[in-house]
Amino acid sequence: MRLFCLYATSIIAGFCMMALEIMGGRVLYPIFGSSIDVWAAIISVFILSLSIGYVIGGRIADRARSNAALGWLLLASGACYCLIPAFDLRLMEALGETVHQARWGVLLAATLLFLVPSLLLGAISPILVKLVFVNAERVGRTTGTLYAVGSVGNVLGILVSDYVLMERVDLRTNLYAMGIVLGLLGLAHLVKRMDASATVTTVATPVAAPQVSA
Amino acid sequence: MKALIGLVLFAAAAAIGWAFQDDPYRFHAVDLAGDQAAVAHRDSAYSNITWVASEGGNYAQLRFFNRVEGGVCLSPTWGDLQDMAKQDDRLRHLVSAGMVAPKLPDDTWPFALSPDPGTLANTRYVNLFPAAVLLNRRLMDRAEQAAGGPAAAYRAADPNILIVGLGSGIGIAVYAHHFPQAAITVVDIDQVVIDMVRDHYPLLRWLETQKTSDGRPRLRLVTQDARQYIRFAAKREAAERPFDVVVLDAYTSGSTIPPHLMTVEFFAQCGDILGTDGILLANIIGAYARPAGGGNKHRVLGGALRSMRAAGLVHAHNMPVMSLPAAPPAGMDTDETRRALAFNPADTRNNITLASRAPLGPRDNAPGWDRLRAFVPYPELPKDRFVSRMLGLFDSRGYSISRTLPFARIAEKHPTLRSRLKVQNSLMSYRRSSLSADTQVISEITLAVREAYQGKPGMDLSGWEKQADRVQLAEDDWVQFARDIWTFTVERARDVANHGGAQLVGALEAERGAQSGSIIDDAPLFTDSRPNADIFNNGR
Repeated sequence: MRLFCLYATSIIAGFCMMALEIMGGRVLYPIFGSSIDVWAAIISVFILSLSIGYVIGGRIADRARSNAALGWLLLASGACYCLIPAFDLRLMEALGETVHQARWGVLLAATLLFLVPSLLLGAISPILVKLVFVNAERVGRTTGTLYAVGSVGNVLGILVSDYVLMERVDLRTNLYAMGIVLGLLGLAHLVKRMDASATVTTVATPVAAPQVSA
Repeated sequence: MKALIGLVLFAAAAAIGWAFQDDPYRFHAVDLAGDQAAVAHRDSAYSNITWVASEGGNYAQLRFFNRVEGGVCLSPTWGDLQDMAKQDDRLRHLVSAGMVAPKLPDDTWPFALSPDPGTLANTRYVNLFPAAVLLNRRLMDRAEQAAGGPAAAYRAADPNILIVGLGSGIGIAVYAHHFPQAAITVVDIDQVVIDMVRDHYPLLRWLETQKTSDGRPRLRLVTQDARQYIRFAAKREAAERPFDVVVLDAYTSGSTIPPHLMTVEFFAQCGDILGTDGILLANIIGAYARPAGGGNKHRVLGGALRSMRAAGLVHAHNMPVMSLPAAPPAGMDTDETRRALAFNPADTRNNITLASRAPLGPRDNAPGWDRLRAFVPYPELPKDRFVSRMLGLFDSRGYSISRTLPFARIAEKHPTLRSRLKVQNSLMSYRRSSLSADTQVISEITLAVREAYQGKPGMDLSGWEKQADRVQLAEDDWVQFARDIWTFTVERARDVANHGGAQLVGALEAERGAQSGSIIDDAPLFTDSRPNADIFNNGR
């Protein structure tokens, strides 16, 4: 049950992350159009946010004793999703008007709109790794499965957005809905406490050493 | 050892990839001209772009992958137009003081001539572009005053035109040919397309250096996303002098209109840069009813019309581009030809969709439609001179089985051959088809073709070895082509009951609700929040 909850968290976070990336194109359309610069900006911002998120999430994971941090991160990213519709157009209009190099304008817009929510979702990955950890013998298997599940979430996020959500539901409703789902998931983690596996302390292999030192 | 095996496997893969790489030009279709070749080819971030020309087919076309994005006739060349201008003042505005030579074609180009196209269109729908100028009441009233009367007053019109999507540049040529005082701005997302057109269409490169009599540049090419350009730069300019015409002709290489250029918000921004009588003209590939094979092309067209009207351009009218007359020509009045000429709402075709804040339709803007009916495309160009003459082989069902090849060189050597082909009645008045099903004639012609073209560089004789049921000579007069498309399209579109905006998509948003029973009754509203023109276009 515990593992199921963690995998479910991973799949939902993965879904929302890539759905935001696909829909991000449509968020930027009204001002910046659909040039290759727009997609370059979106993809680089998302990858960059993942890389920063992994670093931060890794540090939090080392200190974390339970899933409370996970809950807060999910809650915060959900809040960001819900905030995007409030300032996206105003922000982009201002940037389009003031930044005359279109490339820099769209890169800045993508950064301001998407960096924080996707960074927060990126940061949960290392924490999930710590929470699914059972023992050092199986560290490859558990983290491998976790990554796989998260990636399935990514794929679903892309395809379901394209084939179902964007066609039937408008963009803002989609953003709010994902924000609420992430927020509820975060609340659930705050309510239902999960301790980081006790077995961590019994591990003596070098592989797990960094985690033990936390 | 392992490293060696690894190296061998890698080298084998790389060799296979290199040896079997696809031909970037994609000249595969069987009924294409056999003398077509690539003038130039470049890849960009958006597409795979080739200038293709065929002397016999009389075209230079810009292709994205294997799709034609627009074509211009090779003949009359720009040089021909300048020669004709010595006798005809109406062509003066195309005369260059210095020579602008075409950039030499790539090494792959097998022929001696360097294409230097003029202004005659080889693409159907662009021939309708002048409609947006002629229907603009204020602009044409001013032109008539300047010209001292309605006859050919359009030549005095001084429209500011914004074109979204460059393609081959033929749209510019059509405007520049008919409106000497037009100032044209083109915004295109792809710098490589702009470079290709500048390099291989010298007439347009020259136009960029010219000014109208009141000092506006006759052509400007801007590389930017149209949405951004219209919202900011064009809006600043329009504050000084608004645009009279905005043409939307942007397509991705997948033949889809970019969805952010098909929303209420975007159309409203187009409205912002148009003057009160300004007209939005969009080239939309769509249908009036769900196409027989399924798909949602009717919702693309309906969605465009509904969204334009919702954006404040409430007067809308659609012109389906037609190359056939509404009624059979004399002597061909049979049930079969009537059926062939009937307007089928489920056919997917190019549409010229017009929208404006000012009255636009045949009832509300009668003087405008009188001007459309009086207009003759390319009035300075003679008929029967700019013709493509191509020979091809066909099977018993009438399908083309060979590349088509230029007839001119064969006619030189075999002057009597032509008399052995029988001229066939055709519904297309710009085309004269002559054919023969006589095996003797077919084999003579096949032999003559081999003699003339076998082994010649740039000639593709695929299909000419096959057993054919008939041989056909198609002679297309491109001046007549332009005039037919103009007349047939305008005459059909005058029927408000079938082509008016309100009749097609129903009441305006505020008055919707009660079922109005429109022709396209499931037209969606495209908004920035649901900009799904691409999804509908792809058939879902």
